[in-house]
Amino acid sequence: MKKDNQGKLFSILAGIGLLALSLVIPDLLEQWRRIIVNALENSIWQEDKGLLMLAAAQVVAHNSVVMFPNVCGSLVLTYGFTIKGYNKLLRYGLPPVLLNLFNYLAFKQLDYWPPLAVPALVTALAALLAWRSGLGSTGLVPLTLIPALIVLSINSLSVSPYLADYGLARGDLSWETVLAGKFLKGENLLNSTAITFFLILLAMALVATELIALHRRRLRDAEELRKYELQYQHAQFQVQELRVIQEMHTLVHDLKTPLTTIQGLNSLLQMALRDEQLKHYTHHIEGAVDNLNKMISEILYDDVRKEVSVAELIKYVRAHVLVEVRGQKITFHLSEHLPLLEVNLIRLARALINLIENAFTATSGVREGRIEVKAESNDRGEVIFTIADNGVGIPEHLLEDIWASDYSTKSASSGLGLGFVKRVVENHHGVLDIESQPGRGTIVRVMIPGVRRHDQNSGN
Amino acid sequence: MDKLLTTLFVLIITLVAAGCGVNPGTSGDRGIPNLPRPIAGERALVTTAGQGLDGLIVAKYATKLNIKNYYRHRAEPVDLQDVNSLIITLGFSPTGLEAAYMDLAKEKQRLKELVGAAEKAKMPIILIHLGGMERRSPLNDETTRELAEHTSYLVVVKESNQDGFFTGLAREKHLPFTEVSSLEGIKVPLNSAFR
Repeated sequence: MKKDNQGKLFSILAGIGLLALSLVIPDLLEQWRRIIVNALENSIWQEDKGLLMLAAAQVVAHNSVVMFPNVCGSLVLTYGFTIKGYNKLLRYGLPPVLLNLFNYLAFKQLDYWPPLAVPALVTALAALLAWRSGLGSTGLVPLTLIPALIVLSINSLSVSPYLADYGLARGDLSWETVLAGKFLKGENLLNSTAITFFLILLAMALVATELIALHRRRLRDAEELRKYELQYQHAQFQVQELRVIQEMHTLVHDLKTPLTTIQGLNSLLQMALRDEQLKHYTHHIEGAVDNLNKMISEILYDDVRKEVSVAELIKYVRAHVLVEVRGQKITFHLSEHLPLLEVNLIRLARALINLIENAFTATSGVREGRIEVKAESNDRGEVIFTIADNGVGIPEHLLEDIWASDYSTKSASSGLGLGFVKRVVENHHGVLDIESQPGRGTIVRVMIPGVRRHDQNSGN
Repeated sequence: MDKLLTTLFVLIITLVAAGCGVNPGTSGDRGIPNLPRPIAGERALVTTAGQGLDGLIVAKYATKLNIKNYYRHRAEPVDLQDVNSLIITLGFSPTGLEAAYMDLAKEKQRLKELVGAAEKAKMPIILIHLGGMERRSPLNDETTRELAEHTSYLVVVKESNQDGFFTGLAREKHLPFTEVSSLEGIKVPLNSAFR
């Protein structure tokens, strides 16, 4: 939106600038006109048609230079006014009206200013082609190149003696050229050259219009293709992720078979053994197998919940992270009297481990990298886990994307890290929040609702 | 693309049709084809009224007709020495004035002095208009009227007399007048003025 407004303002200013330039440009070209008059005089003195053609080319160029800022200015100004609100009638009709109004006010006193009809016609034609080309990001090209070609093409006709009879020899220089042409019996040469150039330049304007329109269509198509590719990649990633999870489920599920065997054999041992010490060991084995079974269930089923204390959760997390790496240090702070949590221990712990591993990555190049993990509670009975680091931070424009399941800045990463964290937290009806400043560090907060009971307690 | 081409075609046809409508017919009275007897003597001074290139063209035609002449685009009374006639080609050209570093006031003053000196020397003045309607601004017409008072012969091309202005002027001032159909056509009346 801001960019649009800037473009609009730029177009309006550029349009006004070009129209202002058209006021002074005839005066700026005074010396050139003297050279052209001398060239025409020379062609008559020497009765040389070649010199006449050279002078005629200069006349066309001069008339085009005078007309261009006028035509282009009214087009750019209209573009500035109608950049967003697309109104066909306004877009096609406004440029010639603007141009005529401006020229009437500015040039009615000047003898050498040509009749108003032709510039208006040129502007209308230029507007037709420029709008047809589509403008957009290529706005500058159609708004300058197309009018330039049309201005040149129409001005080519201004030195044709045949068309001079129909009022097309606009301006004094054109008329002088036509007179010189008639004197040198060069009417046919001037007519054919003028009409040939008119047709070639007009064809170039049409081709340029089509090429610009085609280029714009290609850009749009490429953009759409890129979007589809991204969607396809995303879908592909989700399929891959699903397949990995399914395989993991199968593998983990397979673990249950040997566990059942261990459990069964352990029961037999319990019955067969007489030694109390050995019996005691088999009870331990039974407990361990039960725990393992529960863990497997938690891995397999997201909705498996059990009541755990925060201390228990953090203990599990600590067991899986290195407390001190060279140049990086992690500290844990747990508040007292934290509520119990009813969570999938394995998954929530994995989510917290992911966040801590990210913090390690962020502080890996930082001198005295620090990672602080805190667990506190609030009035609403929620437990807030805070993972803060003094690492490289995340640029603001990336903050919205990092939670996407396929997002990763690491080339070798699967991109499952933060997407997984978000999913786990949401499945626990929790809230995830991130603050980051590039170069200063990142703070991630995970809020998980606690179990609402009065007798709960938690140790550190 | 088809739509665009159709629009362009219609536009060009409209333009040409409108252009055709702009070109009205002539007054019908073309004056005399040439003078019955010469009125001017050689050598002639050819100059312009308005600094257009028309003057140079007339000088070149005179040379082709072997009429002794010399062309001065900013002729002064002093240039009338050793000449027996004055040919003025009328047509104010803004770019011509600009190229000659002249302005309208200076040009009109120059013409006034030149015509005064020619009349004093009882020199015939031939007034020619080649520039068509493009050179028929109020300023041109006003100057034509002023010069017609001192003119001996008026020659114009058909394109300049589309509204019959010169026909009327010649009738009003009882001037011998010739309208020619093309630029080269002025050779006949020009020759008749000298031979």
